[in-house]
Amino acid sequence: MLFNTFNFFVFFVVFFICWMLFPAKFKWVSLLIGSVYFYCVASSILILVPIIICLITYICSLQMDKLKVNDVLFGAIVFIIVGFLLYYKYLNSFIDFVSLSTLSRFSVVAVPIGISYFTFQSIGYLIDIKNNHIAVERNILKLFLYLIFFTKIIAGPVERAGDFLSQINQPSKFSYNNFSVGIKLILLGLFKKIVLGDRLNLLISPAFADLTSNEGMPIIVASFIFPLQLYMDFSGYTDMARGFSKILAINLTENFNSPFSSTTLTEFWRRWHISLSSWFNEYVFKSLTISTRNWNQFGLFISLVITFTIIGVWHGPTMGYLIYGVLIGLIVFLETFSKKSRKKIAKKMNEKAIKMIGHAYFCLIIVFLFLFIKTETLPSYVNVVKSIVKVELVKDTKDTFNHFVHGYQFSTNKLNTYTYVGNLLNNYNTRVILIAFFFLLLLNNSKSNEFSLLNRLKKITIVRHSGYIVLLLLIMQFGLFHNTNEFLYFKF
Amino acid sequence: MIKVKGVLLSVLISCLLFYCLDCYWSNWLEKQNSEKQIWIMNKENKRYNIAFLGASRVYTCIDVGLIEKILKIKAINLGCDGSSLMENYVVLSQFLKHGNKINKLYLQLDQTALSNMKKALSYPFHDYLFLNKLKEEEVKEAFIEDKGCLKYYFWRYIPLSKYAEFNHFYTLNFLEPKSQSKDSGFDKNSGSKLIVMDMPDSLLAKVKSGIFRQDTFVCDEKSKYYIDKIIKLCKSNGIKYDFFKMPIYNDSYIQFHSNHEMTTFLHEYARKNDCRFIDFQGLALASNKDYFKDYSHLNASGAKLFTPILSDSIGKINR
Repeated sequence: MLFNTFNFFVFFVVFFICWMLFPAKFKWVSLLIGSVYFYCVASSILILVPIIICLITYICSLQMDKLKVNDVLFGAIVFIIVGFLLYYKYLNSFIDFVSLSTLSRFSVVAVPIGISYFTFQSIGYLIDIKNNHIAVERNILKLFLYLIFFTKIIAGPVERAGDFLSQINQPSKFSYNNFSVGIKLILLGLFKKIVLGDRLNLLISPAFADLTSNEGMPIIVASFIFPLQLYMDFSGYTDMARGFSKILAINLTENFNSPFSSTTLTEFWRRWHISLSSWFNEYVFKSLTISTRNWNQFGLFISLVITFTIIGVWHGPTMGYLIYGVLIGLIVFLETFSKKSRKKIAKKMNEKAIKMIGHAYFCLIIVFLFLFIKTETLPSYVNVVKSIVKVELVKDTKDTFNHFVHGYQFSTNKLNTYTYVGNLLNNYNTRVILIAFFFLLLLNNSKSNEFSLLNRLKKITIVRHSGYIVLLLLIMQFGLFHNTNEFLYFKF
Repeated sequence: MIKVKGVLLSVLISCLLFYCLDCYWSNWLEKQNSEKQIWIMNKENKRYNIAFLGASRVYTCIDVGLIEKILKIKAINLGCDGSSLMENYVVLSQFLKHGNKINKLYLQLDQTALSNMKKALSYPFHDYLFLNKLKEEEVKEAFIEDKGCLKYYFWRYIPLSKYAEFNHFYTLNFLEPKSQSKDSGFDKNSGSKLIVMDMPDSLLAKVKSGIFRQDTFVCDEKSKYYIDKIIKLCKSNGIKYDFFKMPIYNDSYIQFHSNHEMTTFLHEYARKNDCRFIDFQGLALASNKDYFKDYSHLNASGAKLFTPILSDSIGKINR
């Protein structure tokens, strides 16, 4: 049941009515029933996996509350929980990798939805208990709700136990404010996902589908569009998740903070998938830096590379993702290492120029890194990069000049390149996307200048409401409802 | 209270806007004569001696204009690309509701038409072409069969929702590139669309390698149900009817090991319903690849050759 489907719409409407009927003190029970139903529809019997993980987490947390658990024992508990993740997420790939026929009976392991998210949350909860950051939750059903709450189970955000449990432990009731904010977030998310994300996908899929005939410019254009598609898709999903939760009086963490305004990769990771990166920062990176504190810069290097490698491999057990993680670790280390010298140079230069160079550097880096997410495996990545480097800027410019000035014919490949780029400009989807981006900018520029005309207009209720009516109309007219696409981050 | 009033006003304005846009698209849809189904349903108070009903094998393989010339009668091609018997029934019922009269109907039946429509066809019911007719009884039944009750009522009572779901079809003209034409290219007099195309070598190789093999014949209950409904509709409108089967390329036809069972079934079914079943598979042209655009559709030259043969049969029957 995807958020952008009719089935989910019906489910949520029915569920919301039921939620309203529950008394404030027991609203969490309705959330639990809804979440269990949602999980069973998506993964049926595999709900046993989060149940078992919840039982392990619950028992361990109670024991940790009574006795002091040493690091070895705690490590063993975490290893057991991580074991579930490794088994379900990586066994199939491992069998494919080693090609063991004797293991082939395991090769059809179905993956429970959201396994990464509930295992991370369970580990985070246990670490917080161990460090006395939060109190033990004695109601196992509430703990289970924390792990499988339906709006965040599939692709996050990765919630902190303290934040979530404190909300469900309070009596909650319907509030107009929550409802209104929730609806706005849902509309915005839907707009990002089905108007922008899915339509961007229509533009870039043909280029990636046939690398040989699209080599050069088409692949370059598609590679630059892909990060935007991924952002629209993922942040759209998160906005919807937050919106549905908000209506049910639950606040979920913001997952994005204008990530593409970054000038360095380090800054990007503070703005992109915030809940996951802060989870890794808190529970992996900090522990590693403490362990390696005597190694100075090398310690930092090791901690960064290990943390980002785990994040990379979390996307999938392929060499491509491994290299993706290692590269991020390496670049973030180099950025940290060169911070002081960069600041010195920046002082001597124009601030705007520095920012522009920063953006250009970041753009190139992110395009080449996100290609790992698009291609998934190393051989496909290499093929795409090969197609990109086949662009011959000088020769292309000369050919174009000769074509238009002297009437020379293009070669088949060049013709293909220009057909793709030409089609891209003369395309219904491109025009829709441009209108949609313009509207999104109007909606989102409130942070830029509090006293701008647009922001002052937005304070007028009727203008604000009209904006949301237009948003709804744009979704109805331009959203891709037919043959709905999965959210890109579901597979992780 | 002021906030609630504001929200209510916004909801009201949204509903009004949705309703207006819903009316706009309904009106727009009615004018889309370039779509075959709409073209048929827009016909009013016309009289035809004969009509051909079926899917693409009727639509693209029979030159109805030529039949009119040969037999000097008025005829219409009611065949629609990729349509199921359910869609054929809906189109025919709408056509008759608008005061059109037919003396005789020829219904094309074959393996594909008699199979489970959801398995045999990629889009058995072109729902987006019937959205402005949701209140009609036959359309309602087809929608509920295809999409389920909940979705049918949602589309019927939430304005604009039905057009939003198919907004890839209901696109805004001013954003469309000028080069893109939506015309289906069929003859607006007879309803036929002949296709000038040879069978690609790759497809011919596939046919030779035997990928179309099918061993058993089962007539799907839903298909049977809609044949009966078409017959009932014909009877209630005083229309005579016969079944027929178009030729498909012989090399692929022989791979269907259940052909004998299918033709026996159709002969028996026709006998039960007091009509004829004419099988054109035995024609010599079915063995010549040059008359086919793929393994089951005649191309324009095939259709030109086949149509006089069909006219001859029709002439003999009706003499």
